Amino acid sequence: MMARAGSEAATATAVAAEPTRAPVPKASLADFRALFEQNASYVHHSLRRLGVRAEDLDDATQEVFVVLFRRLADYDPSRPLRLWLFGVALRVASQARRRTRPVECLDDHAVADAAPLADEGLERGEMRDRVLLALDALDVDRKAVFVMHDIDEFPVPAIAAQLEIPVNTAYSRLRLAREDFRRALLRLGKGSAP
Amino acid sequence: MSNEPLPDDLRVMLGAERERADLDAARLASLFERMTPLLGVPDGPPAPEPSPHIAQPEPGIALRLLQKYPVGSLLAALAIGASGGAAITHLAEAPPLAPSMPAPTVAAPSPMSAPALAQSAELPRVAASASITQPVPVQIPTVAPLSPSAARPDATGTRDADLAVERTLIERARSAMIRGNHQDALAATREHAQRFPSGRFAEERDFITLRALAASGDKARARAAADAFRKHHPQSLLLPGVDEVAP
Repeated sequence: MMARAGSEAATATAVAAEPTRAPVPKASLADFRALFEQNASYVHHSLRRLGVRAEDLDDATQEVFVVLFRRLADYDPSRPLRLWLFGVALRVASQARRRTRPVECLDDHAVADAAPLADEGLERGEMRDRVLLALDALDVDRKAVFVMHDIDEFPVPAIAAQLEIPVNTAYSRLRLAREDFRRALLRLGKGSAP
Repeated sequence: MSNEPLPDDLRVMLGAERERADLDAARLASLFERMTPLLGVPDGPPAPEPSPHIAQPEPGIALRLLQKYPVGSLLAALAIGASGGAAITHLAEAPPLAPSMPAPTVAAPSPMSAPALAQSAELPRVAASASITQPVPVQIPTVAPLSPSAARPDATGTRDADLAVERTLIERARSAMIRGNHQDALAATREHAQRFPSGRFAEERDFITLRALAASGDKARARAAADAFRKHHPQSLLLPGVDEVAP
């Protein structure tokens, strides 16, 4: 309960720092709610992939949408909303990680708990668990490109534009992230062909 | 620099992660209610609005309809819905009605195509970005999250790409409504109607259209659009919202 209260306070503090805007009409709140319902799961999963702890996911998700609500005027509708939301989630995840202890991942304890499984025997749920563990081992900048491209399937040029990095840098981060991800999976016992 | 294809073993792993289940409706509602005080809206949260086509296509509704109606009538309804959706969006193109004029009859299930509508529209454009007189483009717009799978020739890839484009257009309309930019909302719904007259978000599109018309002060066309909505989406969970906009 204390952790929850503290986290909510942190969320409130973070969003209070956002510039305020005129209240929107009530009817527009219904539209906002629809946008929330359509994209909340995506944001929630993205935050987890970016290393936010499970117990902080709800607050971080809310934080992303409060930013969306307050900064919708800044959103360029010619670009995918989810790409923009991912950019917000990236910042929120960074703040959340700073507020909490470092994510424990792929240390000896985690690797020891992850019993090696044959490829054929790995269930989808177990695959998801291992993907998250392996993602936690990646450098944040590389991970962002990797998740946006190889999971969310956004094109690299759009990712580069969203992250404000050169396209070649984005490709380079993607290549390195895949190598790191494969190594992480191998450490977890999920054998990929070298 | 080009992008190398994702190796198959990683594709399987990441495919599993991509299939992660959505949050359930109760959790979404709880999250939204807890977030509302942070939005700074004086009147609190709005009345819950059903959004049957938001999360994903509704198998529940489909099953309900199949139980209630024979398949043949559903197929006919689909054909009517396609033309009806275009007709509702056509209302957004129509000139303002004179106060003494009755609302146009848009409910007739005439199988009007988008080009036919274009020829009948001698109207001021609500926005210049998407003219209905132009041929309907068939390529994926740059605003959609183009995916490697979208380039696959198989039907699943095409459906996924279409759904992504549909979602993007509806999100554009909704975000415009939130910003109070009703003309942009109408432009987005018009583009959706051109490209996906019977798309999976057609009902949501028509609802946004009539609300945008009402919010922009065009009560006559909003009423006509509401009448058309009732005619073409008689089972819609959005009908209470329609009645609120245009009783």
